[in-house]
Amino acid sequence: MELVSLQKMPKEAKLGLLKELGFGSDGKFVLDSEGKKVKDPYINEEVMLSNMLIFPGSAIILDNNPLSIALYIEEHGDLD
Amino acid sequence: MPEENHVLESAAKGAAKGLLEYSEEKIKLLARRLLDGELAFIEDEETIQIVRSQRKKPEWKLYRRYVTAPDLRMQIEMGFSLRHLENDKRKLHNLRTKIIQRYSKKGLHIAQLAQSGIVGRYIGILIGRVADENELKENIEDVLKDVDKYVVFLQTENDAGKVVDTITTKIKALSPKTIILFSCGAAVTKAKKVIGAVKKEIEGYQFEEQFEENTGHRYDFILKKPVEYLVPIS
Repeated sequence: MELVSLQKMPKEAKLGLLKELGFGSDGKFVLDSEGKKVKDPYINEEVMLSNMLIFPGSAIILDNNPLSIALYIEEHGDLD
Repeated sequence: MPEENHVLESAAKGAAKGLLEYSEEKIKLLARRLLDGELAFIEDEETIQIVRSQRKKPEWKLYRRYVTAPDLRMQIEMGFSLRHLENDKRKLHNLRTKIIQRYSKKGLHIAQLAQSGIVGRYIGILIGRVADENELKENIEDVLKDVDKYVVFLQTENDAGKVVDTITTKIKALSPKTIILFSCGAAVTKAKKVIGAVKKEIEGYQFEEQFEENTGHRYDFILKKPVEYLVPIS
């Protein structure tokens, strides 16, 4: 599976991508389709636009940290 | 043109160029490929590389074999990540916070056991002392589940006499299979004094000391003697 870095992606492009996936942002946090802040289910923390990762399937949005990634891999398998 | 204006203009051009690379069609295509499971987006690729590389290490395979409880395993894995991030204070602090959020302070202490190399060394010691793999697993998980009871992290500012009292009281009251004393830097000298005093206070335990020169870490394992080592009462 290809990994696309969000580091060099302009903020407008990130917002466009989120919109395309049915999400949004208030400029700081990622919002769901109802306008609520998206929480990383593994650490119960609101996901920031500047530190997010989006995993495939039904577009799972997490905070970019080793714990959330390792727990995701345990649950879903590695991103091969 | 003043240099400041030139820098601003370059930055604006860079941002515009970056945005041009992401046309509406391209964003739609990326979103579709994501939903099809062909790609993933990540802010900092290093994060996923840390997780992947630690899962390939023999050390991780060893832990997977002997630690079966999923939460304990994850806390150990995070210990490797903490070790990897030791030179990046911001990320180190960030991960410590996440570990506490998910597993409380006790979870962080378990991760720190793996970070400091204590768990690996403990497994090394146990291998020569236990009868089978089940006993090995039981011993490791006992210590991990009660990390705050069985592991003492000695700090420079700790009072040596109080630490001696803490360790001897635990041994006399609980008769644990193992007590581990970890120290580093200036606390190592204090650890030597503590162990010397504990040796005089208790019976039926063996002492194993390990020192890692490149990190300055000292590990003292106080291990209950196996039954066959005890002298029978005549």
